[in-house]
Amino acid sequence: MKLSFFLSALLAAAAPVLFHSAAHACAVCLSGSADDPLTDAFNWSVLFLMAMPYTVLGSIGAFLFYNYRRSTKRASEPSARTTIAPLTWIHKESGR
Amino acid sequence: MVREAVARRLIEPEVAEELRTPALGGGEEPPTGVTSTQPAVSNARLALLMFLAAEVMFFAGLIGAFIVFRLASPAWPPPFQPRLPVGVTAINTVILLLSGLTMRLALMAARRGKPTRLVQWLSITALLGTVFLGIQGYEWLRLIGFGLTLSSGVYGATFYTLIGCHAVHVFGAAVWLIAVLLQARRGRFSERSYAGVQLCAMYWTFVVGLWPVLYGLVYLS
Repeated sequence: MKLSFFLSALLAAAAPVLFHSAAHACAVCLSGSADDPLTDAFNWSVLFLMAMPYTVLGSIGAFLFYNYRRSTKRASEPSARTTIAPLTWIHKESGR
Repeated sequence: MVREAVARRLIEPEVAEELRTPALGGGEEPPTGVTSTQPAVSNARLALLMFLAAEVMFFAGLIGAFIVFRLASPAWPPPFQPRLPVGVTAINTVILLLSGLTMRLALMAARRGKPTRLVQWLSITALLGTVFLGIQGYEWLRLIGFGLTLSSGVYGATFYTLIGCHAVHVFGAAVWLIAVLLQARRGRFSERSYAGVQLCAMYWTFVVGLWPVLYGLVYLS
């Protein structure tokens, strides 16, 4: 079972080498010339789409970091902490 | 007598220490100095953030396709195709950007616990969003009249797909906004509880922020 799986995986990995003409996954790759506007258009589009996940994840990370820092700052402010000041009033009131 | 006993009990050091401890958190204070157990970003905001990330990738795919067609074409707009209404849409862009500002003011009113202001700013935002959609719809009808349709070529197809998808998103955001406005009118939001306004504002900011990018790409490029 293990051997057949290993052989199948090896065959699948070797297939692009054996049948290289059929293995060109992208029609644009190796087909367009450098000065072709279509090649240039695809290059810019691919560059844009490649940059997007990093931009999105970076923005989310920055947003979360900013919010974390802000909430930490707010929580560390003296006014944010629970105080026992109202009890002073009760004490005074009860002392009358 | 009873009041004195209660007061004495309240100022006892053990009871005072118990009262200082946050009700939900319990235990010792975290080392960072954060006394509250509330997360920095709520689950709802995080979920919307993930949704917006998916939306950004969706529009990135459409923009990627537009870039291919735009840069590969020797002449843009192609010959015998109507020109897009750049001037009117510029005014429309200002209207949408203003709605982003009023939404921000609505959020600030919600944070400060001013329900009347909140309803006012939400109403103005909804009105501006509706005006934007109305002008877009009118311009679309004119363009269809001039012969620019989804099937008239790559120019029409990319225009209606990209701008149409954004218009659908603005429509969805406007429906959400009106639902939030109705809730605000019923007094559902307060200084401490305004998550509904906050989430709607996030989504509205997304659709507003996306528009100048699309306008620059589709109308001005």
